[in-house]
Amino acid sequence: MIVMTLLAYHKDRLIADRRCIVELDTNHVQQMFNATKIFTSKCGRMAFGICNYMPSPEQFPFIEEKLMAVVLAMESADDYDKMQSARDVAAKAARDLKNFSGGAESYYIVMTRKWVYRLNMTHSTPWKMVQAHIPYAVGSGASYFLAYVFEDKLTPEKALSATSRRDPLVSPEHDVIMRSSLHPIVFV
Amino acid sequence: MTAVLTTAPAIILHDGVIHFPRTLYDYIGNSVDLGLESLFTTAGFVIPTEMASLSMIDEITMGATIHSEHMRQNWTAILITNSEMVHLWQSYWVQDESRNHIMRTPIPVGETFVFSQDAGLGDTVRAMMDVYSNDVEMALAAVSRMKPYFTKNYYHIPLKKFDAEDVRKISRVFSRPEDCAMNKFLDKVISQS
Repeated sequence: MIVMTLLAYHKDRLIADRRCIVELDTNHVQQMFNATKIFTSKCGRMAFGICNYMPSPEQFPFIEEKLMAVVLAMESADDYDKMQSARDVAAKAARDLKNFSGGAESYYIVMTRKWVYRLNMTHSTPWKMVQAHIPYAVGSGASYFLAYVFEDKLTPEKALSATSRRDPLVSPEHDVIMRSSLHPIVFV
Repeated sequence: MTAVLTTAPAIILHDGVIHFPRTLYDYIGNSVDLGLESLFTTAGFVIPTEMASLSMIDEITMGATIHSEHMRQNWTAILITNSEMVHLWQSYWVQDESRNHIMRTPIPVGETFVFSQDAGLGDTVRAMMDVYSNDVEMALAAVSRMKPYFTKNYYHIPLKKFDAEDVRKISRVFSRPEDCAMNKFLDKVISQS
């Protein structure tokens, strides 16, 4: 089992710490201190973060392909039939990703210039849009983080630092991807 | 001998003061009497040990155990206090084994400690205390804005001023013997105090 400790979206950015706990067996865990959890797709049009699963470099193309398929289906859906089709694509992608990760109950946050999505393998409806103005976080430090950013008391970066002081599983080192750094997806 | 029964989304110990809720809100915003056990299953006893014999504490612990078994669910907290230490007892119902486990955590009175059945809620309260520089009332108000079902109506009781008469007043408000087995023990404890 892999525990990734904090992955969040707030204020037009994906943010994640770099700590990762790998449960080797019932008595032993290994901590990784430089585990990047957020990535930008090769095309630069999508960013995504993964919590509770750490893919190998060879697995990234598959994950990126599945997430991009959902994003393209969702963002091109401008009528009822296309929306139904997009839901089917999303459901299949969720199943494929879950099988691919060996059934791990992983979480994804996917961000484009237009929308933000969350993929929660533990939910019956795993894909959901995230309202851009509402902070969203998963992982062991999520409750701390969401409280720190509530009513804009702290910026996401400062909230993550504060969370790391309260939750020893969360590292102060973190990565950020700004939404403004992504290229828009254009359909012709 | 004194005891307080409460169901609580969070019990907070900070700077020698115990904070516990007066009311709860359900998910549609109704104010709920604390005697109802069905919404939140955390229960807390606050027992100043200077006034309690060990046998009485045992009896209350047993009451909590019976309560836990009676409710067939989760956490019960018993806070046994003296002027130096709070002992948090948690009775945890294990569904698979059809029995409960008891865990005990000693906490120095000067420490800040947030207990909640919902670990995420405990973290939220603790973070808000950071944001509001450990002003518990401000922190609880912020949590209630963030989570509408979380009450901001808390008792704030300094442990040193915690006496039997205060507890009796609170207990008269919240003690509902028909609600759970634990309240029968509460009544007995109060009658003998």
